[in-house]
Amino acid sequence: MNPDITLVMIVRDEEATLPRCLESVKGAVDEIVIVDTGSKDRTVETACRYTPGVYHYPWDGDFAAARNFALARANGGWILSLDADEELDPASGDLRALTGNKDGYEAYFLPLYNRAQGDGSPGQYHYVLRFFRNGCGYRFQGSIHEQVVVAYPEKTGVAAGPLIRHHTGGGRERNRKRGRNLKLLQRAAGELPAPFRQYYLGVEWLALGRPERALPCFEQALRQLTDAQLLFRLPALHHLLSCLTHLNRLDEAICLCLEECRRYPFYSDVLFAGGLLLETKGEYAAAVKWFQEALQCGRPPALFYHLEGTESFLSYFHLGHCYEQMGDHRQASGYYCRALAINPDYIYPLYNLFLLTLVEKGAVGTFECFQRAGYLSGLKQSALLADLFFEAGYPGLAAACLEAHGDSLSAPLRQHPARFHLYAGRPEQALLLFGRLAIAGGDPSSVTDEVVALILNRDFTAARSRALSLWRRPDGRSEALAQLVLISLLENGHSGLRPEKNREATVVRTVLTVVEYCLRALSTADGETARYRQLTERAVEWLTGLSPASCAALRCYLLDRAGAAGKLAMLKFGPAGGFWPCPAGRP
Amino acid sequence: MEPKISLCMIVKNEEQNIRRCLKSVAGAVDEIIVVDTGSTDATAEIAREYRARVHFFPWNDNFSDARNASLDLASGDWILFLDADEELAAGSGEALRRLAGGDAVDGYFVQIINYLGSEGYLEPCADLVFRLFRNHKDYRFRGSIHEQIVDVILEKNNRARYRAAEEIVILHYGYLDRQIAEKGKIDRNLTLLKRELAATPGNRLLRYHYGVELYRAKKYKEAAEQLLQAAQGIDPQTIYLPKLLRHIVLSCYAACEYAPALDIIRQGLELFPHYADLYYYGGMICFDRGEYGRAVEFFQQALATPGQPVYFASFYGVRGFRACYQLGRLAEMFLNEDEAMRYYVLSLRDNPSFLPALESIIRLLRPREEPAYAKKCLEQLCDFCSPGAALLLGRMFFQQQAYVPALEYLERGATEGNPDGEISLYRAVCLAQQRRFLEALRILDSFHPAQPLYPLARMNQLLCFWWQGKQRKAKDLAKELFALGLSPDTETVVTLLIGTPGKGKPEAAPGEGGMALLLDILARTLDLGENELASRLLEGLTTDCRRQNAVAVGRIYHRYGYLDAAEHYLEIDRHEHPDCAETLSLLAEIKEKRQEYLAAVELYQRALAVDPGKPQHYMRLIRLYEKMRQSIIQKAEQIFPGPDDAHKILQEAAEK
Repeated sequence: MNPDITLVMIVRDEEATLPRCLESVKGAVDEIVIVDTGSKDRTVETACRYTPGVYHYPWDGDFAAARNFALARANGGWILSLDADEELDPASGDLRALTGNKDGYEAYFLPLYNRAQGDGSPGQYHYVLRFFRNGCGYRFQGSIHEQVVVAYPEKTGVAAGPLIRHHTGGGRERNRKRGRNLKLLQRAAGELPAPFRQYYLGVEWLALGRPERALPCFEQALRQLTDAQLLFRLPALHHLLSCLTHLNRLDEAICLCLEECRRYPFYSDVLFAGGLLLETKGEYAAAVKWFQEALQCGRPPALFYHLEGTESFLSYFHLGHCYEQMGDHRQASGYYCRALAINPDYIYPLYNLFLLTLVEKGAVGTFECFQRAGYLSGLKQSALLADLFFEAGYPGLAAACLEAHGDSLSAPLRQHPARFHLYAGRPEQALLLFGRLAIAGGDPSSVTDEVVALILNRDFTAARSRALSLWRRPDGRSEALAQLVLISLLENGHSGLRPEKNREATVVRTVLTVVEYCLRALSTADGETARYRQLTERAVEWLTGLSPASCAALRCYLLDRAGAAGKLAMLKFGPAGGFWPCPAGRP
Repeated sequence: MEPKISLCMIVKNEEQNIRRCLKSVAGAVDEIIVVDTGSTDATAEIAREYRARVHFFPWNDNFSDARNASLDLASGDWILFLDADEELAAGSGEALRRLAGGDAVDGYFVQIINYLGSEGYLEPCADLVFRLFRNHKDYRFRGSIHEQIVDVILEKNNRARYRAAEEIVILHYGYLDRQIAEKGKIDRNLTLLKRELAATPGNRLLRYHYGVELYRAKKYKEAAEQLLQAAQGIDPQTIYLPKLLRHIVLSCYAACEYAPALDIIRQGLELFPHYADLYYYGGMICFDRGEYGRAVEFFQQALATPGQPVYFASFYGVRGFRACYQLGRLAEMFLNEDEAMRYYVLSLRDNPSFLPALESIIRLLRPREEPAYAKKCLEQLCDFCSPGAALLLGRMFFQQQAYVPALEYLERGATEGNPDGEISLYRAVCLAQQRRFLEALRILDSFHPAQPLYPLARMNQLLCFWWQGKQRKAKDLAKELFALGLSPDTETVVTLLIGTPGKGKPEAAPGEGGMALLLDILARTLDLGENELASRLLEGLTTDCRRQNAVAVGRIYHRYGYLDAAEHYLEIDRHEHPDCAETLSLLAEIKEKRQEYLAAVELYQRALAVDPGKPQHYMRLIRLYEKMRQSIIQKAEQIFPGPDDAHKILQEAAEK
């Protein structure tokens, strides 16, 4: 058997995404066959850079024909089929291992990961038949969403990797493709069996952002598709649920979940979806029951459209959230911990757990608790916790989170670790870290940090020179002004600087940020804090005397601080039957 | 013909109680049968005074046998049975006669009011009990303890009908503290119950009684176990289920098993959503656990419940003054003094004898700082004509160091006899604190050595002289006191008082008792404004002693407005215990009073970081921010007195 792998693609006007795809398969495939169906851009030139096997196929509205044309020109024993807006993740699995399999498999479903619509939620996995033996009767069928026909199910395996990542294209490009697909689908009425056509129509409408038009398509598809067509039926179900949710017809969606979970009693995704809907409606006690049922299911069989985690960490997370809303913080914390134990990379539970633990055990208690639980051993989690501690007002603990990782500058942090040290009362250490940074292009806010570190260390000359070098950049002038004010405040005890009207807002904001950070330092640092106090007091005095607008900004800032304290109190004690003298946070 | 009513009783050594009982049934019953199981006191004689038929029955550890013996002797148509520590309430006799005349009913449940607590403060707890039934030779009691007849009658006559008759009221005094202690009833009952349960382990009602008895014996864990067992698989319609649930909760609570208790409360509320007791205990548990917000909700729900039928045996005040009082305490935790006052007043209105509410009201009125206002408010609130009430108020004012109004009320109430001299002592202290030393000394002189308060009176005389700077007289008194014989701690304190300042090393280091006295003297000294004397007193203590007691001293200075001294001592304590939230909070208050706002913010945040469990820390911080915002407006108005535009900006931002 020929063990070589050929990548087979059809493309049109994909110059932007093609390189990424082709780079990703380097070393994983032995041959690349690209069939162009009429690009007007530099797709063909790009393709030629990677492979001599570039062919032209005059477009006739039939995707399958185009792909089969490409297949015919492949020489490898195995075929990998990708689209230009996809890429392979070879680190997640080995294609060659699959070719050498002893089970007699001739075709494999590979996991396809669809990045969600940019809303931060986890993406979705489903399985697609993209890797198969060449010339054993595997061909593409269907003119629009061409499928490789599963000729011999017993010779078809499901592989856990490698992963194919699908990147949704830019809006206009996407809509153009979708529009084209819609037209093709409507034309192909006779060719595709009705339920499949309805399914694809629904997908296109959804992608165009028209759930109300997608809804009837999916409804019909769901009614007509059978369990023999699970690969279509289940996605149709999930899409239908998503339409109903978008259209705020939550009760119908819940009914649908009820029906479907009777049909598939161990399918965690439906149970999870039902729980989610109830949670959205605020019916937490009911939602809890659904999530607990979902936990009882294991992973569904491979052909089931499955969102990773619905049977484990995702349900634990939502259980935690429900209990939190019901006021049972103990249970909530327990569930968040379990979610984290199963999947430390899914960090949402960590946010909620952090707040709950903070109001229960205080800051130091939280740190110790998390340390013991092992949440500070992974870099990603430590970075998140460092950010959270800093935002909650505990810079020292933020710095401590990163200690185990050696103040790693490559951490996915929102702010520089030097800032943590600076406002933990350790300006010298902060300066050391700044030294390691490439100084030339610091963003204005980290320059401010550096200036503050310098003036707390009484090195006013160096501070001034940093500020002045930032001044020379037009995007940093306002911050530089603020820095000069701060320098003068600590050096001379006051500042006569009066920024121009158009700069005042930014200057005031910068100074207020430093005031806030210094307050955090004062409230938590163990060492010498006199200079922070001086700086804060003088800064507040300066702001009060600057202008009515800066007074207003100062008052707003204090109001925000009160609001934050109020929110924490609310989290800890709940509404307390109206005992808060004024609702926490309101002026 | 009028039906005949027989009262049947079993007694043993009840000479204290039986008279009250027999007096109360005069005219209401036609015959009295008293079965005595072995009295060694005058019980039988007293019974015969009321023309009871007394029969002796040798006690055989079986209540039913004894009671049945009394039934055997009864010749009436109806049987009423009471215990010696009960009495028939006035007016019930009439109802008794009327109901006995009826045809259709064979037995009545009547109301019983159990009094709990001690003489002087009784709390009623109502319940329903079966005490009146038609006399028949087959109707006999069953069970060696907590003997039952309700089921027996139904077994013998399946057409028997029962009814409740709440107009018949029995008053029961057997649960009063004194009574229970005297009799050792509990141990006897426990033994009997255990034995009976061993014989009939399936008897739920008996197990319930066993659990309740264990609770009374303070064996809370066991009580909870037994009660839970009794509740296993019980029919939700069982009439004593509410009482059972209540006792389970009480037992778990007393055994500090909070989570199980809350779970039972939750289940109980599903069955009985208006059962105020469950809400009340839920509130108490949450309060103890620091879940103040939930506690508030529970108590408010308790207040909102409609009344429950008598057989729920609801604890007195859980829908009223008790819940209100707890809400008052909680409101204070949230620094909401208006709500706190409102609830304390509600509590007092619901039960004018509930002293804790009154104490809290007085405390909140700040009588030391505003005596006139405090008096006016109180007089509007309640009537204090009687001398006893005036004394009570006087004492409460005294507790709050509000010596002027205290004196007034104490004098109003001093018409009563005063053998111990306690009131005189209070009066003397009040006078001294108003610098009316002569009058104070005159009262103190009137004490004679036989009185137990004599040493304290002499001590106060010493203090009067000390405050007046009359060292020689003070020293003389000190000699007298030493001669009387004081504890070593007290001696140390006295030596400190008469010692000469500046001479020699500070050596005094009194123990706990002595320190308590010293701190009391310190407080009174500062109340008089004698700052110098106070410092001198403290200087006589060793550094270690001062350090150990720094927070207490700081607190006193703070209370009397000496901010600098308070700060000094609190900083010492902070150095010792950097993680003491209370110290940090007090220091923050001082900074705030001095308008050092940023420093105050810093300290409140630190307090909050140490102890995130107290609502007041959050509240103080939020209020401080508001104060700071106000002060900015004030400053801005001075710096930018210009046209309205400037102020408009401030307004705009405020509306954001």
